[in-house]
Amino acid sequence: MVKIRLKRLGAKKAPFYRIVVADSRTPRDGKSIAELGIYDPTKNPSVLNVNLEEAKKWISNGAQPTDTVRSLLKKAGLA
Amino acid sequence: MPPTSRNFVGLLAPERGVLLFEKTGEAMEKFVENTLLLDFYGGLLTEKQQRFFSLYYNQDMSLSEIASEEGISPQAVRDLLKRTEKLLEGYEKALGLAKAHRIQLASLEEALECLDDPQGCAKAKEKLAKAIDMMKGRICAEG
Repeated sequence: MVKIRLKRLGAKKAPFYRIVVADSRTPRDGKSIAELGIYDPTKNPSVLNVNLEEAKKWISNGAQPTDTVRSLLKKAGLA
Repeated sequence: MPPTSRNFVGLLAPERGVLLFEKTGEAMEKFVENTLLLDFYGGLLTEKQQRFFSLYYNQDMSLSEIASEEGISPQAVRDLLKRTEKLLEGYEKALGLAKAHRIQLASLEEALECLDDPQGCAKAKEKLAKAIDMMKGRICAEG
């Protein structure tokens, strides 16, 4: 199954995430198939930059967002 | 594919200040808070607690994915994560390192911002003094 999940980057105590499309069988630092955007909670205010059209396309093709990604996409305005 | 100019750019915490990660019941803020607590206090956890917490919060794996990888039930994963979360919250309550880090960082960023204003030198100095006092332990990470 293909999943849309957060991939944590950034240093210790400074989390920074990429929103990626990846195969659910390679969750741990697995290669991602596509990158949909970034989420940076260290900025004040937090920055969320996501390609909604690409996200919609992946979801309609059966990619499953994780709960966290789902909540970010909702904030970004994806129904 | 890199995000394009047609992408949504959102601001999740409209109010400025040091309370960016303050718990407001928002699922995402809780998520980020827990990754931070793991960064600060992970060394105090057992190897297993660290591994499960990191899979869930750093790798964004679901309960069932962790369960099948570790060969236990999703409920057991959930229980362990909840217990670990309670432990980390206890450490933060006692030591307040994550909160102090947040406040110091915000003071430094505000000081830097003040320097953009030609008249902002005194204000910047005040913010820097606050950060230094906090690092020296003269004031606590209250409020």
